[in-house]
Amino acid sequence: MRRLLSALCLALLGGAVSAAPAPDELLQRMADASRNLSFRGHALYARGDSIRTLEVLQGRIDDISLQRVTSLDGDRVTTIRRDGRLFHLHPDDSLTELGAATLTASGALPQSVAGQYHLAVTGSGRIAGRNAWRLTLLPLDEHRYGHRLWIDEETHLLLRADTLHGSGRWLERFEFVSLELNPRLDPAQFALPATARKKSVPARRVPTERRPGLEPGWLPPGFTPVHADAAATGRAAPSVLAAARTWTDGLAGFTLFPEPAPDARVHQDRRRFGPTVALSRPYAGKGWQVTLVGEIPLHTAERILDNLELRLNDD
Amino acid sequence: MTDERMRESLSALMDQEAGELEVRRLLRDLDDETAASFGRWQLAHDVLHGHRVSMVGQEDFSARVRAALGPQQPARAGWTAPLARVAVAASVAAATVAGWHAFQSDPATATVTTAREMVTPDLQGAARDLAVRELGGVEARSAAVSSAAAGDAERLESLILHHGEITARQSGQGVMTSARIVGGEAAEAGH
Repeated sequence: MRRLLSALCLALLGGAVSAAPAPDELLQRMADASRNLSFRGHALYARGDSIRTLEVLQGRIDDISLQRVTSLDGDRVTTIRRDGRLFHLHPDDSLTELGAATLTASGALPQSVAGQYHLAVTGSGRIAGRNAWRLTLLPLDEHRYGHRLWIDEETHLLLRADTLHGSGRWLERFEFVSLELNPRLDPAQFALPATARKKSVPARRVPTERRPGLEPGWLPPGFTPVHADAAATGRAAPSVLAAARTWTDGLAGFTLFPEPAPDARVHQDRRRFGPTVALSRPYAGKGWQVTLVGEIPLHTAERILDNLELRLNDD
Repeated sequence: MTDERMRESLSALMDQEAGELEVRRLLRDLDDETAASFGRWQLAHDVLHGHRVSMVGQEDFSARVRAALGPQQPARAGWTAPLARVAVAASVAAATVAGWHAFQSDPATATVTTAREMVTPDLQGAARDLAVRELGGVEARSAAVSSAAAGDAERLESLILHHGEITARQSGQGVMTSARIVGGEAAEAGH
């Protein structure tokens, strides 16, 4: 209720920032810029009491989209995206590879977001020495977090993103501290180190014929299933990932992973990392468990699992 | 632990400010009466802080602790019996505390999580240690448990990575989702 009131207040104050583009247009331009721009920079990523510094690199070479993010302090962790494939290098030099599908254009982004959040350009500011619009997205219910996005006035690149808890505190913050546009890029910057050794995903295998159907009895409003094309990442991966399904409201998302749990020791983990929750639920008597991972509040995640039915082929 | 000290600790636990050592001490000294007090205080705390109070009333809490402890029975294995009582009561307390946290009408906060993460693994550990001791063969089983735990962490990491990869394609926030994956793993490794 408090949130609805604050959304109303914001609506009354909305339009106070003159000459700002319409919020949904700004959001669409941001999504386009995130795919098309070429840049190099340094950024901060903070959640809880930890802050990490990152080096970020993105661009195209020979019409292949490339991106690399590397941690600069603490353990070395890197992700490299190359033409729709994701390579994730862990601190021990092992490598996880994900993704074979092409990047899905999120054309419907502003529409799906506008139904679930109140959008307003609530000001402007300077991030990484650049002028930015501040776009505030307040959730219209308690099943998603709010967001404050600083979007570059010139290029529409997302310069800073805060994920907000209902109390106004942030759960997670990403922010550029320096940015260079259209840098000279070298393919070697996106190459995998020769020492990297491939790591098998330590998930249990699910035979295709036994893959269970996930039937959610309740979903938070506005969350729609991610199209199978994007979920096809799992096709080449162990089939437990192929059995997973993802829902999104345009900004937040969650994925359900069904796994066989043959032993009595069922994982009842409930973990939280910034805005990300991960929790598992056993399906007693069926020998299965389902793990939910997503950027949604814990009570919402629990309600989804409380109302989830598993349909097994041998039922 | 003196009554006053216990009260302070319980109060800190309710306010999610208890340190790990304090929680251990608290669980060591938890008895039926204290558990009942905790139930009463928690009810008062919930009312004061405007939380919903249907989850844990005093009757409910102490009944659950009593049920978990069961009727007083002759010790099966000598020294393990008192330890069993404490561990079982402790795990009920933890479930109740965790349940209460989850029941807050606000989306769970970072501080809530810290308290939960601090409490729950300790208790699971205590219950597991107990089972190991009762069955004998402490070292062999402990080793099996810890390697399984490491496997769980890797499994969870791969699920989070997979989820991050799918949502990265959808959210329109571009490099931010990669930063979450990289910054997130670096943050976990740094702890």
